[in-house]
Amino acid sequence: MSVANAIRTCFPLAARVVADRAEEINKLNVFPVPDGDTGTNMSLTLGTVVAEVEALPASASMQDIAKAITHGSLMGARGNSGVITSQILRGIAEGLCDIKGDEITPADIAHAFKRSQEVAFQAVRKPVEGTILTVLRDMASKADSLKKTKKSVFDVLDDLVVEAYESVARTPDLLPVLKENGVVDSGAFGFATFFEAFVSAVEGKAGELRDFDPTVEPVSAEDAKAQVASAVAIELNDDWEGSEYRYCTEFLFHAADESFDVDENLRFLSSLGDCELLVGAFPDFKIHVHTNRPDYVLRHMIHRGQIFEVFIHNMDLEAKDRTARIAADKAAAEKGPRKPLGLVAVAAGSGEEEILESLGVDVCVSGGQTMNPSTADILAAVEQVNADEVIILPNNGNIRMAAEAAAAACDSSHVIVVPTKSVPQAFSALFAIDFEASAAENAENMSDALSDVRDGEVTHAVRDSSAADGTPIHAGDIMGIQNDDILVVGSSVDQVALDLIVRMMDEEEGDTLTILAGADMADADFAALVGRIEEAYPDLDIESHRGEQPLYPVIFSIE
Amino acid sequence: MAHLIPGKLRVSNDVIADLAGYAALECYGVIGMATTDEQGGVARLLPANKLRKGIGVSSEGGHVIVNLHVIVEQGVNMASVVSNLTSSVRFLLKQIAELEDVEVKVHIEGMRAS
Repeated sequence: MSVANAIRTCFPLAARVVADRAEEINKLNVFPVPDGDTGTNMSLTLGTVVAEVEALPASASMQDIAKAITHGSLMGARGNSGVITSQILRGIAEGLCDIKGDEITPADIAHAFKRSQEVAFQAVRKPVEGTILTVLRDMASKADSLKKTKKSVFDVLDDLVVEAYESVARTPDLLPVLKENGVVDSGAFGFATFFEAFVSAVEGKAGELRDFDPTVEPVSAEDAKAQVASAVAIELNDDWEGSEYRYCTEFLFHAADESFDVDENLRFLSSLGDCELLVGAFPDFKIHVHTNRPDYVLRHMIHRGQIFEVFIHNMDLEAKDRTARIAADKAAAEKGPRKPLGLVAVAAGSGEEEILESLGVDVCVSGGQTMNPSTADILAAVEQVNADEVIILPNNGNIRMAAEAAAAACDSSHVIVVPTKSVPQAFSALFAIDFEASAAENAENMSDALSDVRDGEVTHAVRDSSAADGTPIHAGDIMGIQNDDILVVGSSVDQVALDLIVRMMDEEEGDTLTILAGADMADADFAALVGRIEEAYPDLDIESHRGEQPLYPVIFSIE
Repeated sequence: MAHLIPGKLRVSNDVIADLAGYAALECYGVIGMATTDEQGGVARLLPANKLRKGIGVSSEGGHVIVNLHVIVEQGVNMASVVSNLTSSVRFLLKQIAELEDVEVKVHIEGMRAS
């Protein structure tokens, strides 16, 4: 049997092993996008190749095989790992076409890997280390170092398998995202799995492959493989949820004689559970099954040979542990981690809330002039912040008392109230925050920042009254208010706001104006007002936002 | 200590283009970004420091559209490469620039045979 025929027979077997382990490989997938599909993509890619290769007659030449592999893997390539695998396979197949004579030599293997490396690396501008490509390069240089060896081809292949796994084990050192997630690269592992399965398929049928040197001494290589394999130990899929079978049963099996029938035993395993797996080559096999009766499995197998290295995991218990752990993590996440310093503020509109939160406020309580939040509301917000120290910004003179009461009532955190009278004041106060400092220091700095801030509000009169200077006010008039005194009365929001600003600027010149539009204020009107202010005071720094507060079309502060 | 830093994050379109270009260079199957000669219509491979010329970024509201003009390796499955590139770019922009609503359009301007 020729090299071409060996590939035609063994490629499908190796592809099947990858398909069986696809789920395991999927779980390792964190790079470049953690979408958990590497194993699936790889096995689908290999599957298309298998379909094309299996369609060839037994007499197919290496050129035919290479064509089938190239075409199949090109058409079937799925995902990153699939595209890379297709290039690797194409390179190896092309390399193997150059073999002169019937016998394959270590030099031919080195040549095939060299070609594969060329083909695979030319398709990417910036190869990322710690992926399949790294493993391929390591294998290629290993193959190159062995090209003049006296070792048999089988030994060389075994060495390459060992090198592949060692390289896979190194991937977390090269690609930090893998280390973070505590996994090896999924594509690299998938490729090593494929190569190992292919090599063992080739060796397991050594009797038929007369073209290869049959003197195999795989023991030392097997040992090395086992050691390396333990270094890349993967959590087996024994944490599957919702499996009706409780015990994940795994062991190695040495068949007593040649009458051992793989298919018949697989059928037996599947009759007792799922996820059954019987891999290897006569007489050594690895068996894996999820079942409720591991005793039946062991009894059945022990009549047909020897069993060793038996592992039985109770998946139900493990799943429960895991569920409990996840639930605990989730509960902790919902409350948010405990912080040293938290902020609670009262806001009257969605726009105000948004700005306050962007400035560092953890929880906003809705409230305002006519809908004061209760002490209980504020207390609940403080608890929700879950911090050692909490600062409350009441943002309204009327809410200060409720905030002080909440501060006194709270026993889980040390609470301080900074008596802001308006949301624009809160903005100025928030700019003074230093999250590394204590709440007391911050409260002092914030109060200092507040002392320079004067604020004004513009609203509608709801009943007849009179202004500070005695001007009569009728219901529906627009009033400009500073510090609870009605200073300006007029009929348009624009004019009143501007007059109020002029009065406050005359009183004491400021350099920054923060102005918030209420829910009833149209965008265009607001822009026009801001324009007029800019015209009147070209040097004034104006911060305009939509606060969406009810009742007050305009509120502002000058500092 | 990770604190919420008060303020707003603005990411300029040039930075988005750089991030997308970076993702593209690492994407398997993509040889590089391309610029097309207006008159001759011939695609030219851009050097790594001029990637932005092969990338167009526009945004409307929160919706960002990234146009990538690329050259791919001959003999790879283009549909897969395009889908890998799209998801890499979206993932990177989400991770680094916190952009959720990104539309990626890949234009294959040429193939490199080697």
